[in-house]
Amino acid sequence: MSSALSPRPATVFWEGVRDGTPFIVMVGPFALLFGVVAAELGLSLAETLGFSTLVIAGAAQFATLELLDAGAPVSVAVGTGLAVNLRMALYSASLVPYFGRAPLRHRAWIAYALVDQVYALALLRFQGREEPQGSRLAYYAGAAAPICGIWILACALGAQAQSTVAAVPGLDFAVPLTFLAMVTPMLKDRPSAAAAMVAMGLAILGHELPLNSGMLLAAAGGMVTGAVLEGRREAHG
Amino acid sequence: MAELAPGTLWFTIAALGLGTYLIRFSFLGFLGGRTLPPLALRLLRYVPVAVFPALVAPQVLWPTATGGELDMPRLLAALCTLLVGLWRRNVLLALGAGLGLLLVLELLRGL
Repeated sequence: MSSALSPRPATVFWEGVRDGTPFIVMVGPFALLFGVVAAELGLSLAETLGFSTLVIAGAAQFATLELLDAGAPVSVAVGTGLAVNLRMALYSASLVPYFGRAPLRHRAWIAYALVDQVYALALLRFQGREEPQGSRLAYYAGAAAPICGIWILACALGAQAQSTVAAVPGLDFAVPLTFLAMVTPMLKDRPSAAAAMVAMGLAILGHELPLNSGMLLAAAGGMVTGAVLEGRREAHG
Repeated sequence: MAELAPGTLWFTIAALGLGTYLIRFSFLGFLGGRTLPPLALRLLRYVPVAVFPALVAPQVLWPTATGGELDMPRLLAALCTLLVGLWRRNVLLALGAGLGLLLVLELLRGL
């Protein structure tokens, strides 16, 4: 596609915003809950905002805070939080084909906003679609704006509102359902479906392994399965 | 919260924040424009379809909200999301179907 025909970055940015905005409904309650829990544990608003702006990773924030509350050493609390986030190194690597040649200042903010939902939206858009890098940057920024924004804002709101946040039944399960919903359009060929099934099976078998290592081993098993099946399919034509 | 020495919490936040940023920056930042070998690219294509199911599967079987007990409404909601997603290939529709089903089942349980 020639660049003369590609849409303006502003247009693509708003496409990203449009795709990212519905996830406010899933990310918001999780962030509110973090704010509530942090306030109940005695964190100040500044400390809660420190977590949500410097870390922006729900599961790791909860894990670290719970361990500190239970009296674990800081090294264990931080180490566990980082182990929970280690999957993001895989996200980072898988964005290299799309953003590896972007200037460092762009890669720096892309890394900052690399949360699960933004990553999944970006891949849903980029896979199998040729577009100039400027469009990809604009889309990524648009998708990240509402998702990262609501995470930070709702953490602060939760810290202020404390336990007055209404508990809608089932909302605790919104995040796993979001991940499931986002992965289904990507299961379009046999290697992808097999990768997902192997990863699920291994994650279930390994769910009691320490430091989230079961999840990482399961992800590695799924990736190898997909790559091997793809290679075999190519070899057989 | 257990008693923390002054500054401990901020140290924790800073260490977790910096470590998490370095994890996110890692390959994107340090590999930069280098071309990855074909085998690596092939493996990386399967990151989302491997990581998300691996994250979700244990949470579906042992949800935090029920203290790790298998919960029929949550299991059914997950299956519903998966099936609607595979059928219609539409993220929001799949999510709406799963969350909606869970809300209805939770309300029924409350009766």
